[in-house]
Amino acid sequence: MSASDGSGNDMNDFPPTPSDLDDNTAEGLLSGQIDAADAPPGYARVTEIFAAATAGASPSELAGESEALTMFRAQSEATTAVAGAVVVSLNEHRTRRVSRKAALVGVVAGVLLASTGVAAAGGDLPEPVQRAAHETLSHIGVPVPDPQPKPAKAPAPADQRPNPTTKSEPPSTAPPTRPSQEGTTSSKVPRTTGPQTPEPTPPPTVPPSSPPSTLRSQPPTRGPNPALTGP
Amino acid sequence: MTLVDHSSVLFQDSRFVEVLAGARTGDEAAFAELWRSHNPGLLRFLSGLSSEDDARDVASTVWLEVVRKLQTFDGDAAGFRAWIFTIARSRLVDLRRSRRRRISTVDADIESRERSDDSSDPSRVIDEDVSTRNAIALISKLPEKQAEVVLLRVIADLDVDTVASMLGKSSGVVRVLSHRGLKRLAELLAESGVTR
Repeated sequence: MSASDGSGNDMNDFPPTPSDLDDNTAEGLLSGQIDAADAPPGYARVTEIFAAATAGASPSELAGESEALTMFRAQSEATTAVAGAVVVSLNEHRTRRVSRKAALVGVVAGVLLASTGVAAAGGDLPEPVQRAAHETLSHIGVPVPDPQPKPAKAPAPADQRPNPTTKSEPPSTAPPTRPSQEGTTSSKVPRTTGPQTPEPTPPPTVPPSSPPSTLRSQPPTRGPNPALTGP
Repeated sequence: MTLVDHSSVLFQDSRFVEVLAGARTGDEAAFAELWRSHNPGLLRFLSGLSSEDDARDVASTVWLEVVRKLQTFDGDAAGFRAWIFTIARSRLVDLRRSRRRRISTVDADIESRERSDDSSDPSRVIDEDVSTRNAIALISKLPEKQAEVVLLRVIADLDVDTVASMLGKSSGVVRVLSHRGLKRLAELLAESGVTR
């Protein structure tokens, strides 16, 4: 063999025998393609060394199988447990998400109601809304300014009172009135809180939507807002 | 005739795919086959670079890591061998580093190359039928880089490029180390009087 690849030229510290190897021969020896009979001079025994190094497994080399299987079994069980835990965790996560959403809705509603209440207390709401707040909150003892001007508190002349027959009935989507109010005047009076009850001929001194002063003491036709009266 | 029979300890691709798939699904028999086919090679590789006791300890840690990460492995039989032998090298380095914290580097290197017996004596290898243990012990007499390359090429049956990648060296360097290792092995045998 000659050092045709040049790699053997760096081995100056080695004696000339065994001979240097070319790449193909070295590859053949390492991969087992060259046996002792075909090995270059000095390398026959090397092929036997490699054959022994790659011989079948000895019992001592397989002695740890049970330990390895124990590891494998434990890992498989752990993986299964983790997979189950992940499913449970996902379900819990979904539940928590729903709870969070409900809590968020509650918080937003509370903030809106609180801000509305503050605005209502200051009389800053649009008139229909302010009136609704007045009727609702005053019923439960919370003082809220009535948007109606003071003069309107005086009973209006009969001829200036709104004609119930000319007033539109509450919209069908409105909640029904309470039975105790049915048949009363107030039940017939058009809902002044409803924005969809325009006054065709508003008197100059009485706002078109202002109810008679007697109606202000009437309970609202709608039940108290549970959100406001609730615990 | 081919003297080196890698198939006796290592998988062929067709069988490997089936066994790996089984092991991934938790089939203990498949994993056992995987282990039986690779553990001897692992032990021999590690024994060539450390003591037999250390080789067994490191091999156990290798399999622990293999078991944990088996689901993430994606490759063929050669890729699997490259994977587990790479893990073996890393864990062996870890072991040596941990020992260097306790004892001097020189002592650690000596200890890491200690043998539980004197089977690495070339004359003894020559006088007896060549056993696997003696063969590995003789290879371990090579300078460590040469021994590592020869073991990875012969025991792990990895090609030059794969070994180069594992060692972080060029293919040319791996070839040079292979040549030097082969020649040194022949010299060790020749120095013992065998000139076949």
